[in-house]
Amino acid sequence: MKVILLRWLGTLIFVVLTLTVLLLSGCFFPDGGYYDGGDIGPGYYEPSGVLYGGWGPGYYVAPYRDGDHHQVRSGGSHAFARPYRSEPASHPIPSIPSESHRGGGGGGFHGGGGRHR
Amino acid sequence: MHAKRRSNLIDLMTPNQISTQRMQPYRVRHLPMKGMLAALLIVTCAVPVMATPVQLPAIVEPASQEHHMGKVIFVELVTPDLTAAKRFYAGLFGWTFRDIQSGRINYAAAFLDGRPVAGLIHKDAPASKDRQPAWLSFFSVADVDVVKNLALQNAAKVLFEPHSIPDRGREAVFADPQGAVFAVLASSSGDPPDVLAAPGEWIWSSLITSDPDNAAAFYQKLFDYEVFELQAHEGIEHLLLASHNYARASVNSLPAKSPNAHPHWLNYVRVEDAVKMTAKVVALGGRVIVEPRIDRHGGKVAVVADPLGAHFGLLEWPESESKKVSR
Repeated sequence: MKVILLRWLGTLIFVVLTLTVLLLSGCFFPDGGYYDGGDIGPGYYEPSGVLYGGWGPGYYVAPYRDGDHHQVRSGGSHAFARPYRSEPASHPIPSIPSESHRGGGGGGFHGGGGRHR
Repeated sequence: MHAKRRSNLIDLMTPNQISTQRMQPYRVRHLPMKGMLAALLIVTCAVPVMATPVQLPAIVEPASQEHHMGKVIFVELVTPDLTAAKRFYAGLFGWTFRDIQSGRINYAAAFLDGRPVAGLIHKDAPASKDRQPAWLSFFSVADVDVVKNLALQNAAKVLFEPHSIPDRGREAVFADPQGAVFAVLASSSGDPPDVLAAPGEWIWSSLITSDPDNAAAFYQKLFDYEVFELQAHEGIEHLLLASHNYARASVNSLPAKSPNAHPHWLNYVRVEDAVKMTAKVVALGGRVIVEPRIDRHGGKVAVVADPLGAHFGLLEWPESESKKVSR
């Protein structure tokens, strides 16, 4: 009887130790082992059917090139109803940089740039 | 009766057989326990291995001390066919790839002339056919968790909670109030410098949305952008987002002919000749969505899709101010 009790006690200790190790492993590895799920990011697939056919004349997406002054839209009271802070019309429009890469550094995305002056 | 029969059987057995027979009840009694212990042991060993975080390359190598809040500093593509995607982008832009496999994750870090340029992730396409692969834009932020709170206060949705990736930084993914999906990244290696993108590198981003005014206001709250209103044709809005005197992105109305299209971010790769590149896209199995067209800067832009359906833009940007652009 005593032997059986000892065996059960040993088993219990083993189980407790195992569970402790499991819990600690979750702490040691960031995000609780999130990558176990096989995901980086949300695995994002956008809704299909993005239509671009409507890019008619005057539909522009690119940045300015020559630091022109922007035009504040006309529209009467609409000008005061804009939900964002608009830069004064006197400010030249920023562009993307003209300076090229120096050496092999950098990387990533180079969408930003200095204002043309 | 049974006891007598058992006794007779034992009499016929060799000593070894008797020993084995006596062991049976003990084994049977402890078999479930042993199985459970073995399973626990396997799980104990497997969990740390499976949970080992993916090592993704830094977005800037060597690391910089630069940080440009609101700048799109990285892009990632989720694709159902990593091999096909790599073949396409290598053929189109000359990107090279470093494969990273960890557990069930297949990731390809893309480089151009040794500079990190993008990340490609394999993920099976969803069962529903109304979804397509997409390039995801990562905006630089100082504190992802602060931005998350700001985003939530301004009607955005969190698609992917803030989390840290070794060597990469801390990131999160959101849908803005109009539904356009974007990510933020506090890069642990700093941000890429503000230099002119080389051909084959990402150069520009535009948000095409159902409500440019409110979208601009939302991103201004998140990234403290300066907003410039650009002259556009009637019924079309074109806003420019800038920070620290740098142009970062544009905000455009959804085209009038496709009002039901969903708001989205579109990223552009710099090319020297948009016409030649669109022909190359087709030759490599992709599609031309918007034919090359002159934009306000005097160069051409086009929108294309890779063979798996992910959209991206091509933008001509001549190196010299005085250089004549193709028309």
